Amino acid sequence: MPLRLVRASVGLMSLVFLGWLGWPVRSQAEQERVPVFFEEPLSPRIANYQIDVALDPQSRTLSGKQVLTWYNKTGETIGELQFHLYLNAFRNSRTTFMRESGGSLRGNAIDEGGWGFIEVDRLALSKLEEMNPDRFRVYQPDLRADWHQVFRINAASRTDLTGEMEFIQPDDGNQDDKTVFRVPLPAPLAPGEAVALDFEFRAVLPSPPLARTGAKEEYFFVGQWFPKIGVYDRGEWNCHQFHYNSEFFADYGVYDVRMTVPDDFVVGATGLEVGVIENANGTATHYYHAEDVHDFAWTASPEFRVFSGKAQDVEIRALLQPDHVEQGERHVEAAKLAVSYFQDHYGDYPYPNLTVVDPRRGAGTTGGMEYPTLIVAGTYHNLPAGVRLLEHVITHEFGHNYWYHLLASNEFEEAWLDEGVNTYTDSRVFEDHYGGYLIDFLGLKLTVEQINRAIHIASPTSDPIYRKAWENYDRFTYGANSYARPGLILRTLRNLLGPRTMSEAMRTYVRRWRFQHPRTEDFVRVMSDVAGQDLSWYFDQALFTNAVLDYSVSSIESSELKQTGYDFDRSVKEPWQSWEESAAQPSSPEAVPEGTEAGAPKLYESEVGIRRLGDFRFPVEIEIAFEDGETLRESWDGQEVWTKLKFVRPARLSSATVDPDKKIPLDRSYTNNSRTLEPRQLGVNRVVTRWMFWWQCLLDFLSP
Amino acid sequence: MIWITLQLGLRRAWSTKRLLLVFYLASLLAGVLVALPLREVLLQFAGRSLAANELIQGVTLDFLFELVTANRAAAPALTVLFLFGAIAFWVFSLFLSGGALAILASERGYQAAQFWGGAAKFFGRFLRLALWSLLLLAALSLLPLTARGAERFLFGPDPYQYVSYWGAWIGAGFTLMALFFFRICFDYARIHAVVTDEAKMRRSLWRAVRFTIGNAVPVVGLALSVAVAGGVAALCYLPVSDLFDGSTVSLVTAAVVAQQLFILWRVTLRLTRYGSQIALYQKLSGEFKEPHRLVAREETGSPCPAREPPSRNRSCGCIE
Repeated sequence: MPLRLVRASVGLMSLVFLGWLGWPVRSQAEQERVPVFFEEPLSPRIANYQIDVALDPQSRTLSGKQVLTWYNKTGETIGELQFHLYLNAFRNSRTTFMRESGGSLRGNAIDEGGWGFIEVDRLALSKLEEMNPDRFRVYQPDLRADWHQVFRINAASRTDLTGEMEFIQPDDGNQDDKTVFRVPLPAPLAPGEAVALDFEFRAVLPSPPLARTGAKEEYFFVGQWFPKIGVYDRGEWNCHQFHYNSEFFADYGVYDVRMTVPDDFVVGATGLEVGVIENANGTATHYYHAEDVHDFAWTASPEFRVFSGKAQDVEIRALLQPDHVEQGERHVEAAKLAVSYFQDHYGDYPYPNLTVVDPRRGAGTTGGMEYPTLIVAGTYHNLPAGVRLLEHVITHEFGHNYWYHLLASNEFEEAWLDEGVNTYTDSRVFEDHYGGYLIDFLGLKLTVEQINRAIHIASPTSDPIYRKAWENYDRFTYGANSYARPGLILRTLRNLLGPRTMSEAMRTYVRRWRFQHPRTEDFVRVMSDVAGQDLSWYFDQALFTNAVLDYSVSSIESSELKQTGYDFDRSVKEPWQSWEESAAQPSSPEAVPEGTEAGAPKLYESEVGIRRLGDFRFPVEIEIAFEDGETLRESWDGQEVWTKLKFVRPARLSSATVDPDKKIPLDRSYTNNSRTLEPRQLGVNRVVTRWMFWWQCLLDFLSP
Repeated sequence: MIWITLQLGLRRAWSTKRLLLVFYLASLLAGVLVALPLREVLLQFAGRSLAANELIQGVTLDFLFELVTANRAAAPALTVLFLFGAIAFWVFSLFLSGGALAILASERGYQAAQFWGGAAKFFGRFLRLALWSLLLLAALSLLPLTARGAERFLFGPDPYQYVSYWGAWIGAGFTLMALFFFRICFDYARIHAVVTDEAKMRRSLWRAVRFTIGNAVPVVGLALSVAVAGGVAALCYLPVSDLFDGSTVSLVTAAVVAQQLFILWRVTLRLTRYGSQIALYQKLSGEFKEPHRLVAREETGSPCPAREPPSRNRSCGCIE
């Protein structure tokens, strides 16, 4: 990979240099210089896009021509195609997205006149002259190529399907929603065949940006912006409408995108920049090429300030807003750490580069989002170093390049498989490199895991985690079920299996499912395989039910063992025993510690009640502490609703604790995990007097 | 002059120890009234858990989240308790301040009848003053807006974040200044009302504003000095409080004592502020009417003999 990068860099530099001289750039020359990323395709390359698009900044309009070559690798004959038109979510107030969201997301709402949409003006289908799968595999990017020639599309066979397009609403039947359309094929497409689809489209970006995409003054973030084919999966089209609580799902392919923007704009996009053509009309065309990705997003702004760095074999480029330049290096360092950590722990990041975009003020809704090789962060001016929101968002969004981009799970239907796994891994990065602290500032310390637990314990259990994103009770439940709770589920699993096994399982998951569409059952299978045990007992509860995990010590008693009555203090004796011998004989020999002598000072009979308060069954450890300092550890499989442990010891019980090492962060309450024989008022009094003191100070400060 | 008035204020406050006690007990009562229900909630939640042991080191966020989640039902009641407690304490402090100002202005030491009489007499006036002061507060709240206005004028509606960042700091500074000015005016308005037995509170407020502006340097200097003394005391308290971080009853008790001593110091500081401000006001405005005489007249219904003007030698605590 380093060699490829060197060659790519030389090629890019040459192109930029030639462009700077104003010389016409020869496509043949580029073909010789610019390499493909991968000698062999890493993915099936089912949906391949070649797009020419021009941005008019004044009207926020995109004018595009797109050639989509779609390869039928389903093993079935296909009679129709289905497409996403995501930008139509912002078309009016009646779309499904707008109805679900109430018109705003992450604090941003569309201005009056800021609606966005996409119109397909023309759609034509062509057969390919040769059905050679290699055409989707390796070819040389070409700055001025005519895609029809490159792919040998037979223009004579072109069939206009514009009139055949029909909007459908597979999820909710909302006739006002135009985010999905279908088009019947003139002739069925047999397995192994491919079609080329010519699109001409116009799109207007929402302003200010909403749901990750849009325009704000001179800043453009262009995501979910082109007509995008759905995924044919398990015998049907998986092509959902754009929802408030959902992200995306797509097939892999190769993208060649030529974006024409004003020539003073700095552009960042998925993939690598192959070259730039300076046009005569004050615009420039930026050509980006990406292989084995399933989405393409780009951004453009004349305000971007560029920072760069390198982590292992990955070039990092950060595009900063002018008011955040003091954090340029911080962006790069955070990205370097994330790239290195993920490569070291979860396998190779195959792409040569990563672009980090800093969203403009007033366009924060584009931040905290991931696209292949391009992530959008988000920060504030003068963000203190101890407030690691920036590092967290970069770590998290880069993590998606593994859990959503290398493994293209279905975010519509199984959001946890991306967001939840990613939440687990970003907490691991923080634990290993930042002491776990998301905030360590002015004495306030807050770990990522604490935040996840707070969300977990605060969220109602309205829905199981395995649920279509938009079918969750509300956005908070969606968030808890997609991010925090799965993160804790995996953290709990790690503590159960051990860090080494868990790491190996995660690596295996990446290795086994790279460039495919893994599902929940695939993840569980990998975990079970590596753990050497069937873990469905755990995942079934954790993912498919609302079961709550909460174990508690419900009772604790300890009293002096009374040894009275016959055999102890009565005169009736066994003929072969003296009374003293009888008194020393324990009533339950196996429960009495060895070495207890007759006439020993006192014996105490203690009982601990453990209760499972939720439906989630999980094996737990219990620590029993006695007043003489002795501690015991017992295990319980946690299957029944309760269990009781009994002990006879020479000391009274002091306390009992379930999960004493806090290995089960999924447990809804740590506080009820322990119980003491005597009330512990000192700590409570300490806290109360401290709070009282601060309350008095506050009142004194406010009083006249 | 500031130093002298501060000394004088401190001496006056210290010479009325019962006054200190009244103010301190009020603070303690307000604290206990809130602390008891909180203690009950905590004991119910964690009193028999090892989590209570960990509380000695402080509240962890895990515990706090669980506490809040488990006591969601109690949250509205506690919120009302805090809110009501704060308002009630403010009003009660306003009530007490009438008596305290009357005592401190009279320089005769604590007399229960004079204190409670003064508190009762001026309470209604001070409430009216508080209402009038809302106008002043509204006017002063425009001050931070000027920072935003200037920002918008200079940098437009869409400034860079570093502009809005520093603009926010400047706005916060203006807000603090406005509140500081408001507080000073409110103090001197009450003093004016007590010293001159003014019944029209808008007039007292206006006099206070004029007095504050007209004597900005000593007035603000004095208020700043008191504020700095409070800050220094807080800085001294924090390391001392760390000494009592421990898990024994004696250390916890010592910590409570240290806390309450600090509160006592805050109360002393407040009375020092009153005393100093009265002295400064009398010095700079030349108004020496004595409130206790007016109180007595109202209480007895008969005029009292005019009191001699306060002596101006230092031994009696007046300004030379």
